Amino acid sequence: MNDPRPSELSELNEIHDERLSECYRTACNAEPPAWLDQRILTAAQTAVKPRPTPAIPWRWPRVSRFWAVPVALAATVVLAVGLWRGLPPTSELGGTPAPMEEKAAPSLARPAAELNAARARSADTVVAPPTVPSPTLPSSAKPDEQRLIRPRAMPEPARSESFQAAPARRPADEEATSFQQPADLRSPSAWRAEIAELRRQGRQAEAEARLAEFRRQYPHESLNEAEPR
Amino acid sequence: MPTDDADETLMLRYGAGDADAFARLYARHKGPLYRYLLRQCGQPAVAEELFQDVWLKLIAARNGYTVQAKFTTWLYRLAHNRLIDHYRASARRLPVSYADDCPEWAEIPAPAEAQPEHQEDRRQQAERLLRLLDELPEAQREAFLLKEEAGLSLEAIAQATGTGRETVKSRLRYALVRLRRGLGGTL
Repeated sequence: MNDPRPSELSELNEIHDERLSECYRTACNAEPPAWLDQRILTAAQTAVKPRPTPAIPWRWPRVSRFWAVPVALAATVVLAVGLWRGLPPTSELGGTPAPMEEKAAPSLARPAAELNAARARSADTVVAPPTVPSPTLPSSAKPDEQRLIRPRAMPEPARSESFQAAPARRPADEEATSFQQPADLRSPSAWRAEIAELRRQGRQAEAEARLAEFRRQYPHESLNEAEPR
Repeated sequence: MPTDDADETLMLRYGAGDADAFARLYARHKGPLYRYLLRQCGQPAVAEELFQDVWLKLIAARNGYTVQAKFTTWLYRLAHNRLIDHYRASARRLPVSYADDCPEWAEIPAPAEAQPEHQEDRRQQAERLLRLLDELPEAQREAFLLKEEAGLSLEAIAQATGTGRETVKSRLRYALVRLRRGLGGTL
């Protein structure tokens, strides 16, 4: 072991005083309190202690999945029944467009009547076939183009029927229409009178059809008022 | 190469989950560290709080600990930083002695009442030494405490306090001059 050089010894003497150090060691013997020791040692042990994992994991997601399907089915059934009960009967739905057709029928039938009158006035002239005036499309337009240009507000079948059927409507059709439209409003006695009139005129097929319609409308009514209900 | 009982080995074992290794480390260093903090802050309650903070920080850093320096240097580096935070957070500012060493302080005579003219026993000398120590600038006192309590070398003190070796040497020299003068050559 080498002795310290003079420079190092001088440095050591500058920064170290053995008597001072001994005095300091005598003076200072303070220690941290016991409770502080306990607290720090507990923190150190807790930090490295393995944390126990729960033996049974939380089952909340499985419970949720278990009830999800029955609850969804019940909700679907409740919604479907509610909607079905809230909707009007089918007969009411079918009768809704009738007033619109009734309003449209006179205006659509008018050109046909005017055409027939003009045809009668100029009997000696060549009468063109009853063409349906198209308010928006030129006659040169192709069917595909007409379909494309046709306004969307009016459904296609109803529109074609209203423009084409009006001039060709026959009296029998008009009669049937007159029977059908007020059917819901007529009383059983009116039905009976109508069916009796048809039978009297020998129109048995129409009478049977009206009878079937009458029975459908009034299942608890009999055709003959004297029969028990 | 650290031995099985070396501080560094114990700290590595604690990082691996050995709580007994920490207990041995704590028993070895708790007194010097506590006295270092107590002398530096002057109030036992504050010293206890800082002491606890330092050890909790060490516990939190156990997994990332690697042997890059002496364990003692690292421990007192943590303590020094916590002490600086305490100075900055407390009402008084960071002591000027940390920013700029004043050689003139060594020439300032100790208070008249501190002159030990008739001290006869060592206990009284020791008590006076502690009062003189309290009157030292913080940086000089810290250097003295790190040498006396932690047994750190000049280089280790420089590492722990983030200063240069010559600065530490200067602080220690001035501290010893003031303490000797305050004790009046009775040692």
